[in-house]
Amino acid sequence: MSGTGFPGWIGPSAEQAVDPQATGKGIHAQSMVPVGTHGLEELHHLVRDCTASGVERRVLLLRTDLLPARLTRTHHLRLTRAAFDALMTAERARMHDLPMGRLAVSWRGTAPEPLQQSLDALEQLLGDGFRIGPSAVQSLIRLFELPRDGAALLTAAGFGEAADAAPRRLRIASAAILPPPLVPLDAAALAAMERQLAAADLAHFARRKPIYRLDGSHVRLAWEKRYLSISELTATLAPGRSAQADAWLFRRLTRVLDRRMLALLSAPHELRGAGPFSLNLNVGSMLSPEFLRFDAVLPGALRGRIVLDMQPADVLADPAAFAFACGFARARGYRLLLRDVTATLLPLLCLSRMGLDLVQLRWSLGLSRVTPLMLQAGSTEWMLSQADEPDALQWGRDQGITLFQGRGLAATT
Amino acid sequence: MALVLHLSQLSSLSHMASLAPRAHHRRIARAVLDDAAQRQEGQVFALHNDDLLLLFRSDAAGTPITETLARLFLVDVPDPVGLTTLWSMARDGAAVLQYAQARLLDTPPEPERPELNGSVQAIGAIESVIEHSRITDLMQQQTAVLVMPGHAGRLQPLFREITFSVAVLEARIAATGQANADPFLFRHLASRLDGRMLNVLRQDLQVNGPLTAGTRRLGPTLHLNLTLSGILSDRFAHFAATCRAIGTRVGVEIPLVEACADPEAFVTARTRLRLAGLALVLDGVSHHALMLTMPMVLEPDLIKLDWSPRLPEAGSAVDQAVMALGGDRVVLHRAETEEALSWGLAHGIRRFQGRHVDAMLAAGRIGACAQGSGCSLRQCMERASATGTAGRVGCSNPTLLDAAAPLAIRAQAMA
Repeated sequence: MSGTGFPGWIGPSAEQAVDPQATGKGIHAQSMVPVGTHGLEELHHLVRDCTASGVERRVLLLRTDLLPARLTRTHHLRLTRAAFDALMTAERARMHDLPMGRLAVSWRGTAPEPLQQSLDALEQLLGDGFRIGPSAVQSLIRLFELPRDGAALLTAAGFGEAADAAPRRLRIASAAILPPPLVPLDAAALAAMERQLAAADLAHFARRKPIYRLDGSHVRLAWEKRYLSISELTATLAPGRSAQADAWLFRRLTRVLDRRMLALLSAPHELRGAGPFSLNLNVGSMLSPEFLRFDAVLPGALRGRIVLDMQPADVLADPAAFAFACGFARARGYRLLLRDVTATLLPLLCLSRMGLDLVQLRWSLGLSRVTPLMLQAGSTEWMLSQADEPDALQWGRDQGITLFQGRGLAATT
Repeated sequence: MALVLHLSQLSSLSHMASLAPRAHHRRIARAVLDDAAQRQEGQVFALHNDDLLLLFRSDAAGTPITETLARLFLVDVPDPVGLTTLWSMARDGAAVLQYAQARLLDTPPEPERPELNGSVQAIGAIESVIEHSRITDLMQQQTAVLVMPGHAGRLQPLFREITFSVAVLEARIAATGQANADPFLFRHLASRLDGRMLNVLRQDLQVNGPLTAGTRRLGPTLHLNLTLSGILSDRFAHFAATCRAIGTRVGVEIPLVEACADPEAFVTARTRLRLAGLALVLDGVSHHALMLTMPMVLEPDLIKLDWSPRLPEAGSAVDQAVMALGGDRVVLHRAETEEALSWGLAHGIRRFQGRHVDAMLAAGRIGACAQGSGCSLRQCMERASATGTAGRVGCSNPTLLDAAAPLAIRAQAMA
């Protein structure tokens, strides 16, 4: 696998190896059992050699087979493998592809620094990037010391240890028959999809998600987020394709859908009696003719109660247009929110200069390392999204945050 | 009362002739004026030079329309109040009429097209061109320089950036303005270009070809633009392994917007670059973006700050932000004018890249070239930017043309 001379290199067949279809990743484990047995053989040899020679080695095992299905696309797995880059610089480091898509890296000695770097990278990736809770992250990663833990390693690396060891909510990769992996949307498929969208009725793809205000023990609905379900829409208009796999084509698609959503909301009577809501919009969409039409028909009772959500990358793609759009939206009484601000993004952004009403932090373990100083941005109010777990909610409350979105909250109301 | 919004002057007032007035300037300004007309018993007229004329009653309550407009254009022009003229109809009615009539004689602007900027079909066509063309014909190069301290006129080549030429790509599909009309589609296109770029450079490195020759010695570093997915790809691993084996110096440029779109992948890519010993350059940092971010948090080796004529007017906030970056870390990019160089030097910046630098290097070459009497400055600049032999036709002194290129090219050409 290794041995090209570049320490970050993870193997000439990595491109194929990270393809779920090619490897027999967890989701296809039943039909692709033989794949990964070579890596298991390597570990058998390693354990045997270490036991015989007494030379110490360590092995880090990543249970990629326990990742939720949404995180088993090619780019997720590539990122996961790349998190081992630092560890691959350790002495005699080797990567082993194991059955059910499990992944292990073995190396000689202890190599505490590369190990810590890789563990940090994994924690950051799984926690911040993939938004897996801290306890679940722990269950995905295991460290073995050879020769002592040889038997336990071989059990965990092979088929011996069932997925039972992991929390139930991660047991998506069991032997259930799941559809084949989705193919990324390409320019031609997106062009076809855009043509179809022009004529499609999108009303039944419209969804709502509640945002709550927690005031002491009192929970009330602050507003609803209105959006189109892109995954359902893609499954209907471009079956077998993944809209999210190519991040930039996805962003382009959101711009097309923004306009359709605005047109949908501008239909006669659509907003009669409606409560306050928020919309995900690209900056360009806030300056579009469709937005002007939406603005023209917005009932007076809703003026000042609509939140427009923007993404950091979109803001930075055209900061002048962002400033112009903010000036206009503010003049028309809209509230402005920057969404999907992660622990990694937070120190990069000068939020106090953006003139926002709200900033939506996306929960991850990394946020717990954020200092209160970083949560000062003038009069901006903070909101915590994906607060699905109690520790997220607790962290938010500790920071004085009162606006939340998350599955856990829906249950408490 | 009459109010004229001089959208026609937006380009001269903002110094961004290629950008203003943009479609959204016209659309939103019209909406704001229409709204004022409705509230203040008025009417809006679109003049043929892009200016908008509002006739209205002045005694209505609420935020004055001039104030709303000034706030809207605050980022686009340094003095947005200058964009509007107020007239009293009672006193200046004849003059307003005369002004409007004169503007109605101008050529009317093209009607606005309702579709999104840039078509996906055009991007698909460009992808096909990339797949089926000889790659060096689609590329261009530009040299960045270090202005030697104490020798204001002395330029030391610092790095040579190789990029795909958007103009050439668009010319191949006969669709001017389509490739980068939509920044998101352009980033997608960039990810498609990565693979070809990495392959061609790796092959070139292995045979000591003209694109990368000399990068093993003390010549300028080779810079290329990559997306995060490109850096995380196997092709990059092959490329980095080759660079490492040969000992070539390479800098990888990543746009700020790409880093912000996926900061987790950026951190992983940065680790990969560091392990491979390649420099990380943060590209595409405009002065607007500099006001909204702290790019040093991303720990790049160099930051490419885009020059804008607005920089000198932007005030102390920008000055402080540039100082915080540190002059040694900044390359003033798109340095098209003498003013850019002066501003940069005054702010402690010593690294420059752009048309003005190209012209200075070309002027130096023509002055030193025995066969240069028949060449224009522009010809010499264009030939130096070409990566293929076709683009260099007409130059009878290629040795000197490469003077700003790696030393080995010079040695090779002279042999």
